[in-house]
Parts: sequence; C-alpha cells; structure tokens
Amino acid sequence: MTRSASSSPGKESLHDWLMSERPHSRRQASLGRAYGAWRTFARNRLAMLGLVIVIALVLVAVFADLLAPYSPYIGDLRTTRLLPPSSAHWFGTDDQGRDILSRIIHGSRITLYVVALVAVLAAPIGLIVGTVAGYAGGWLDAALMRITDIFLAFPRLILALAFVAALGPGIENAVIAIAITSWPPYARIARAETLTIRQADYIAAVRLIGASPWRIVLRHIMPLCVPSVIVRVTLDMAGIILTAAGLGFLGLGAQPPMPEWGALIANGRLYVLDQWWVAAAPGAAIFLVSLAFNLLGDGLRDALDPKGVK
Amino acid sequence: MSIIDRALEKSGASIKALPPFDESLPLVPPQPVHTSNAAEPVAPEPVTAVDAATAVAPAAPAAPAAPAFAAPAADPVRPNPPRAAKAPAAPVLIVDDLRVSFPNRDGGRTEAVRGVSFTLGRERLGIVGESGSGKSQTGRAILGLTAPEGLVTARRMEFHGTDLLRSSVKERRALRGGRIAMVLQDPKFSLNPVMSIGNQIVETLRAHSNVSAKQARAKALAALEAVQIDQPERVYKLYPHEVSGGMGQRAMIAMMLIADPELLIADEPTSALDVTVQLQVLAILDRLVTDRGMGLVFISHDLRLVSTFCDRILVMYAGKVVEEVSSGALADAKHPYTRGLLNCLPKLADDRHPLPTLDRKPEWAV
Amino acid sequence: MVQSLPAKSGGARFVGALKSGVNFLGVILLTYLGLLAVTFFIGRVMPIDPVLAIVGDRAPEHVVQRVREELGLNKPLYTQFYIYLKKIATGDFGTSVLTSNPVMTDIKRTFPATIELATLGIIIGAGLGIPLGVWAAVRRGGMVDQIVRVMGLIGYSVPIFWLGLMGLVLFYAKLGWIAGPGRIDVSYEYSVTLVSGFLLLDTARQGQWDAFRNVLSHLILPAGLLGYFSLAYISRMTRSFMLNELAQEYVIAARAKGLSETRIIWRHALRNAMVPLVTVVALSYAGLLEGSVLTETVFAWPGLGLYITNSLQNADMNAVLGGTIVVGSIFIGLNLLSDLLYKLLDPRTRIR
Repeated sequence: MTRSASSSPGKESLHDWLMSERPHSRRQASLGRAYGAWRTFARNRLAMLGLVIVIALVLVAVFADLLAPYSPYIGDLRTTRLLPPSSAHWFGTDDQGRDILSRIIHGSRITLYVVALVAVLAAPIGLIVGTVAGYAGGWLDAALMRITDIFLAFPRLILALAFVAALGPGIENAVIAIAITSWPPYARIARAETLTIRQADYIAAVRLIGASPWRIVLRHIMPLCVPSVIVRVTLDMAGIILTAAGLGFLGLGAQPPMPEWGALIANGRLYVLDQWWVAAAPGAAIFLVSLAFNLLGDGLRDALDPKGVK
Repeated sequence: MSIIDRALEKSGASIKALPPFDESLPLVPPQPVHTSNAAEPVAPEPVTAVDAATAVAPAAPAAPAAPAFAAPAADPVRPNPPRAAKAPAAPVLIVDDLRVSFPNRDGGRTEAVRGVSFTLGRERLGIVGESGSGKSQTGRAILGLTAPEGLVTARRMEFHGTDLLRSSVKERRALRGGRIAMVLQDPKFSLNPVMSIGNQIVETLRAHSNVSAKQARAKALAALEAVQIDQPERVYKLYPHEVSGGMGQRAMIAMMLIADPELLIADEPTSALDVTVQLQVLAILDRLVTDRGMGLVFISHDLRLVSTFCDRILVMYAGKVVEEVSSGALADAKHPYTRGLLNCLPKLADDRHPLPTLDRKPEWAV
Repeated sequence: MVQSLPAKSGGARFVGALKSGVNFLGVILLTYLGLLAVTFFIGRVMPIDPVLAIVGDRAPEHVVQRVREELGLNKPLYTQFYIYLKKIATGDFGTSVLTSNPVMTDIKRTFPATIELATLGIIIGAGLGIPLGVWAAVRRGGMVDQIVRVMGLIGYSVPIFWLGLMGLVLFYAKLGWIAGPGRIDVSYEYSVTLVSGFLLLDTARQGQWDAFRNVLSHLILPAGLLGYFSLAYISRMTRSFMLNELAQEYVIAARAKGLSETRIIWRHALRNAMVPLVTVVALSYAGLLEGSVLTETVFAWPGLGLYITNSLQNADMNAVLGGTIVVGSIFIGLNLLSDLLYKLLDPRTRIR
C-alpha cells in the first residue's frame, strides 16, 4: 500500500483510497485505475503541455467573443489594411483590414468543431465495425475487414477533395469527407482487441447466462476497446486538423467570411511574399494545436499502454 | 556475523560444503581468494571429476541426484567421463565478488548479482538457480554482455591471467567468440532470422581469423558435421526458422565453437528443447568440451541435469552463491535451499503426499 | 540421429504459393473496384445533375444531351457502373471542360512533374532518414535521438503548405537563394525539349547546364520540403524498428561471437529492420504523392496535384475524378506493394 507523504489528512486519505489494493466497490476500482493512469500521464511533462494547450484551445473557442480584441468579420479597408504586427494588432491585419488575432481566435471554434465532429462520427463507426467483425468471426469478419482494408488504402485528402467537389464546399461536407476516410484504423484496433477479449472466461460466462450477442458486444467488449481507440483518435487528431486545414487552404472547407485557419493561410498566400504575416500566424496556430494533440496522444499511449516501451 | 551465518551455524552447516577428500589422488593446492574474510577458503576441484564419474554410475543408488534414466553400462549424457586432470590446472577463470546492478523504476539500483566468487579450471562448473537468481547475468558479465545500463563490479575477474575488468573494449571483443564463447537458450531467437545458418557460422570464423571465403566455408561445413548434422551442405543454406529446435541449437554450438575457444558458457542450452533432443544435444556438447579440453560453465535451472553433467555445482539464490558442492556430494548438501531443491525433485518410485515444496526463508536472500 | 526435413513437398509448396498469389490478386482487384465504385458514386450518384457537373453550366443543349446519352443516365445504376468501368479500363476518363482535352492527355502531361518531385523527396527522406534513425537508436538518448524525435513531432504537426509558404518567403523573397514558384524560369522554358518529362534528366541530357541549374534552383525547396516530411516519418520509424531489433537475442548472440558493433548494427539489426522499413518507405512515397495536391498549389508546380485543384476550382468533374483515380490507384498500389514486399523480404514468410 503506498503511503502519501502529504501532511494534510484529507488528501492522504483520498490518495490512499484510490491507490488501495483492496477496493471495496467497482467504482473505487475503476477510479483507482484511472487515477493510476493519470499519475503516469502527469509525470510526462510534454504530455501535460499538450493537455494544457488543448484545454486552452477549448477555452479560447468557448470565450472567443470575450477574448478577441476586434471583430473577425469587419475591417476598415482604408486605415487598417495589411498592417504589420504591432501592439495594436498583435498579428497584423489582412487584406480586408481585419485583425488577424481576432480571426484566429474565432477560427479556433471551427477547428474544435471539425475535430469533435470527426471524432464523434468516425470513432463509433470504427468501434462498431471492429467489435462486430472481431466477435462474429467467419464470413462477416472477412467481409467487414475487406471493406476496412479497402478504405484503409484510400488516400484521405484526395478522396475528401473529390467528395467535397461533388457535394460542394462547406464545413459539414469537409467533416463528412474526412470522417469517411478516418474510421478504418479504429476498426482495426477494435477488432484486434476484441479477438483477445472474446476468449476470456467472463465472456463465456455472460453468454451462458443468456446474453444476446449484441448485448455482449455493446456492454462487455466495446467498453474495453475504448481506451485504445481513444489513444488512436487523439493521435489522429493532428492529422485530421492538418487535412481539414488543407481542405480549407484549397477553398473547400468553411467558406468566407468564416475565419477557418486553412482558409486564412490561403487568403494570405496572395500577399505572402511582401506581407508574410497574414499567412504566418494562422499556420503557427495550426502547428501549435496539432503539436498539442500529438504530445497528448503520446502521453496517453504511454500511460495506458502496460508495456510502456518508449 | 551476518544473520545467515548465524542461522546456518545453528543448523550445523557452513556456507561452502567441502567435498570428501581422497588421499590417493593428485592434489591441487587450494587457492584462497578472500584474504580478508577468514571463513571461506575456496578450493578448485578438478579431482572431483572422478567422484562425479562414480556418482553417475548407479553404484550410489542412495544419492537422490542420481538420474533415473541412467543406464548401468553407458550414461547417454556422459559416455566419456573424464579421468583425473592431466596437468595441474591453472585456473582458466577467476571471479571474485562479482556484482551486477541495474537501475530500477524508483531511481535506485537493484543488484542482480551480489558478490559471486568462484574459480574455474579446465572442468565443468554448473550454476543452478531459479529465474531471477542472477545466474544468467553472471554468465553475461563474464563475457561483458551486460546491458549498457547495468553496472558490473568485481574485486577480480581474470581469464587466463587477462584482467577482464581493465581490458579495453577491443580486447574484450577479441576474447568473445575467439577464446570465451557463449551458447544461448533458444535458437529461434538467438540466430539471426534473415541470414542463412552457414553464413552466420562463417561470420564467427572470419571475425577471429584471416581465412579465405572458401576455407571458411569448408570449416563451417566441418563444424556442422562435428555437431552431427547429417547433410551439412543443405543445412548451410537453410534459414534458422527452417530447422528444428535441436538442429538449430546444434548449429548454434557449431557457430560458437568454430573459432576454438577455451571456455564455454552455456546459458540454459537445452531448456528450450524437448527432453529426448536435450540428451542428444548434451551428448554432443559433452564430447566437444571433452575433446577440446575446454572449461565449461553450465547455467541451468535443472539441478538434476547439472549434477549429471558437471563436476562442481554452484547454487545461486537471489544473486548470491548459497552453496558450492561437487556433483558427487550433492546428496550431502548442507544449505536448506539446496536441500529444498533436492527434495522437490520428482521421484518415480516414491509416494509422497503432499508433494514437498520450497519453503523460502527470507534470510537466504540477505 | 533424427534430422528434421521441411514437411511440404515441392508440389504442395507450389500450390500454397499459387493460393497466396490468387488471394493477393483478388485483394488488388477488389480494392481497385472499391476505389472505382467510390469515384463512380461521387461522380454520378452524388451530384444532383451529374451531366451538369461534367459539362459545366454553359454547355449548349446538344452537348448536354449527348453526354446524357453517353453516360446512360436513363439506364439502371449497375449498367451505368458497367459502362463506367469499361471506359476507365480503356483509359477514357472523359473530357476536361477547362482544356477541352481528353483528361487522360492532361494527366499524362502533368504526371511526370509530380513524380519527379516526389521521387526526389523520397530519396532525401530515405537517404537521410534511415541513417539518422539508426544513429538515433544506437545512441539512444543522445543528441541525434532528441533531434530525430523533435523533427518527427514537427513533421507530424506542421501543415506542409504553410511551411512551404514560409520557406518561399524566407529563401526566395527575403534571401534570394533560390528561384521562385514554377519548375523553370520562363526564359529557359522554350529552350528545353521535353523528352521524358523529367526536367532534370532532359536538361542534363541535352547539355543545357544553365537550364539544369535553373531547374535545380526551382526544385530544391519543394523537394526539400517533401524530403523533410518524408525524413521525419522514416527516421522515426527506423529508430523504432532498430530499437526493437537491438533488443533481440540474436544481437546478444552476435556480440557473443565477437563481431564488431558496426557490423552488428548494419548487417544484423538493420537488415532485420529493413523488412518493415521498406513498407514504411513505400507508404511515405504514397503520402508524398497525396500531399502533392497541396505542395504543387503553393509552388505553382505544374503537376497532377495542381491539375486536380485547378479542375476543382473550375468544377471540372471529369478532370477531378480522373486525377483522383490516378492518384488513388498509385496510392493503393503502393499500399499493396508494401504488403507484398513485407511478405517477400521476411524469410520467415517467404514463399520459396
């Protein structure tokens, strides 16, 4: 039993309660495990940095209206056009006189929207396909895996391009396009985990009690696959952000005047050789957020992976 | 006195049980290695080879270490038990107070080997212990193969007079394979999967001597024949995953012995093999070691196997040598751990209920 | 002495190999069919009026009618798909609205530029990435290891088009070290006859060294950019694979044989790491081709990527789909090739 060195009796008992080797309830056990994983995670400073940045992103997106010094849509073409960075405009202004910092702040909402939506769409699809394939076995498994492999071999950006070309540009279409090509890795992971889990005795026990396959898959197998999928989703986030930015850069994502970061770069591209700041800051923002997700994902993987080989 | 000394004194034993002394045989003077610690003189015992030979024959049926399968006429493992050592044996290997430690998760260091000392002549020494006793790490430390994060210290570690501790990296590398060799446990993992067997054998040779490719190939084929592989040309071209475990292990022996080393450290050489194949491989090993007059350190967890194969046995527990005994005198082992191990060896004729288990005492690990 | 012989006879092994081969071909066919199905779906099923998507909204009525006939839009879906497949098989991707050429011609024209860029990128990426990764693994925790990890992190996080833009600002606009967007300066453009489509080769073969230098100056930033991304990925994977191999028993055995550390690293560990590494390189190449859509836009590089994006902006559906099919096919091909290479290179799974 670990002993905490803290002096305050209240803290000591919570830590001990969580790390106890004889949990009294299921909740205590699962909370204890989560706490243990959190401690491993917290030891990784880079991962904590990633977490901080992601939380900052969420906060900035939520409080964008309060944080942005100027309006992201309205600019004065006469006085504030293409101004270099200064104390009044930290990142300068763009060709329509709009403050770039404010545009970036509001653009964080779009980034968060895309990230959340793709995760919410792709991860469940992947989980369901993977667990069903892994549990069912036989021809269903083979068929689902064939489909997964086919989708896995598709180039994400190009297909998203074609998709948006057909449907027309727009943020929702971009999200759907990205989600459609993102689910295969999750299906693979879920299937691999399912194959291991389904041999377990408790699955046989539940089946003996008479649980239907759906119930087994949904209530027993899927929850166990969730941690690995979460890690993979977090690691994929950076790629998704970059793909979405790429689509925005090509004019296929959020449409003007929405300040999507990729579109901001495209906007700045026309003036980049002389007024480089218009394109610089949005790209730095994308870089920062992707980096944060990468660090976060690495940290999660190290914390949740029992083997923990770096 | 330490706790363990006190505990043993109570049971009337001493740390190193000396083998029975036979006046008629040529003597080798004991070589005291600890000068400060008066309690334990260590004597190298090439003479006990004779004891081992007599112990192997079922003339000593009371010895619980006698292998149940030993045929009266010829022991399949030791068909040629050696006679007394021909020349006074200068020690091949001297190890004094060897310690190997590794960093652990809490920032400190864990000692895997805690003060192991022994001397080896042209004889066979068995090191027996369970997993985690430090026996493999001892073998690797001698060869200089400890992982880089490990720390190896010793008061003395000499091979034929060469100070292993103070040798340069190059010198140690020249020793490895050329003068000291090691045979590892599982050929599935210890042979390079993308190189043919023949090429791997040739590689050892060419690392230590300047031979042409043709000569090297011829020698490699000869080495494969020496380990009783029937079709050396065919096996030469095969990859490790294409041969059985026994053949792979024989190929590994060929690979390690081709440069004619003087000392062989065998780290669980037969543990990954089926029992019948074990005997065959051991017989080959036995013949090769005898014919070349090599010293052998045989590391294993199988006490019975070691007792039939080796002249002397070191029993290790938790990184320390708890007993050193000649294999003939194994039945008279004094240390409670060794007695416990002997007790646990299955006996076909006996009817023991409940089966005896090892009752570990914490003072053994001190 | 009992020896073990391989259990299968020659005939049984041949049948096994045949089965794997057929299986593999089946996978290839199915995957390509899937790609074509998806593009068909995107091109014909999704748009409200597929004909309009193809001919544009300014086409005369008789053209619209003709195309409607050609596509067989009044016929059931699977017939349409069949017609589509037949056309693709003959290389008929339709006609581009923008250039009025058959899409295939346009693709053939623009393709070499993309390949030239991607190939140079992968040469840099693998040529530098593999040694760096080996070094990082061997001297674990050292300076090179940290650099490799940082470069990897940056490579996974930074948008390639943005980095290209910043590179242009720095090296072209501010420092003037390299030439700007495009493959070759206008002044040289007409003095070079395109033979292979690879400007480096063509200018060199024709002895036009000024033009060659100019082409190089244009190539260096985009190729360097692609090379960097490829390097970040490959060096990280090499490091990972090497660490894995260096922890194996056969490395300890090799050390016990007294081999030099150099030999162990290159001829034992790396040789084993090569097996998954080749697939990584193939996948990286595929990634470079896919990313060409973005990089070519930034550098105005007249390759397939730029063709696709231009067509996109002009709602030229045939061209977009044609380009998608080509890039997608190569991407899939490289994926499958990497699977195949893995099986071939690992002697444990090789069909001998």
